[in-house]
Amino acid sequence: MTSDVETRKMRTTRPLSLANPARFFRIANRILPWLSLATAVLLALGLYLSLVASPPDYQQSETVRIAYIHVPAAWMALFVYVMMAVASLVGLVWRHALAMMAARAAAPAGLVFTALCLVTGSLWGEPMWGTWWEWDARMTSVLVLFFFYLGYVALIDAFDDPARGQQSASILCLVGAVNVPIVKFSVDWFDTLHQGSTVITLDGPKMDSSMLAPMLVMAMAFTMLFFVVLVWRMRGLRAQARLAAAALNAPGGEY
Amino acid sequence: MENGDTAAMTTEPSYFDMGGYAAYIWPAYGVTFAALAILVFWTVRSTRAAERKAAKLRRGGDT
Repeated sequence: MTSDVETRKMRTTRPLSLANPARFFRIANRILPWLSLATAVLLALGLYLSLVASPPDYQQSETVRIAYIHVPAAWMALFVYVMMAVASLVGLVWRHALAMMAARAAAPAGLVFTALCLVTGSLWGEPMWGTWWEWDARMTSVLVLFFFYLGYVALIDAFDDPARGQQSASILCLVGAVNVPIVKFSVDWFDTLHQGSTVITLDGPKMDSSMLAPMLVMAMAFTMLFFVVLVWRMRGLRAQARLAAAALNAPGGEY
Repeated sequence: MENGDTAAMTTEPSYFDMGGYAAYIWPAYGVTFAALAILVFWTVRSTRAAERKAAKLRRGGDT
């Protein structure tokens, strides 16, 4: 039996008790079906608004419809990275295993959204600007973001000791966080081919509501989808952690 | 449209032509939904496999 002093000490050195992950997964599993439903509904509505119920642009004609996936993908790329950076910081500073796990679980989704942002951007740029790519500040900084995601995923598995891999990846993630405001403000700070901000500006959105609607609905759909993937992947990581721990205590070795 | 024109020469563009930009718009939507679908399915699949293994371990590994 531990004394009162020892119990109190345990509580202060492990302020986030083991009960937290269990509670997190209980709550996460309960809301998962609702997240999945929301994702499906929002995607369907978003598709309808993007492809059917919104008008072509007077300048960009039908290609403006690419914006309804390109911009939400870009927002997700940044949002997920910020979430990963915060989680990595919490994980490193407070040794919070669940936070580390959340960052790790988010990485593949962030990578996919960034890649989609780049690909849909090229598909939009070719007919509108006459080029698939340009090394302007916005496009280059998003490519850098993509490489930071890749680096994170690669570092996780790069060491024999998974804890070291997680730690290195977390540090890389924090280093790359400086790129996030650069991506956002690149079109303001530099003379870019990429257009300036039209939605998130100090004066509010400069976009017509008929176009803002599909964009926002798709953004919400992508966000719900991200949370679905996040919960599933965290569950998978937890199961993998249990398997790894069991492998260390493999039968034949009990004492 | 002139006399002698057949229907084939003057067909109305369909919705799928997207104002002539079909070659850009449909691949953009296609690659997006394919990538997101693969992300979801891969995630669910790998989690289910890991959870199944972990559950088996718990059942079979009780000492």
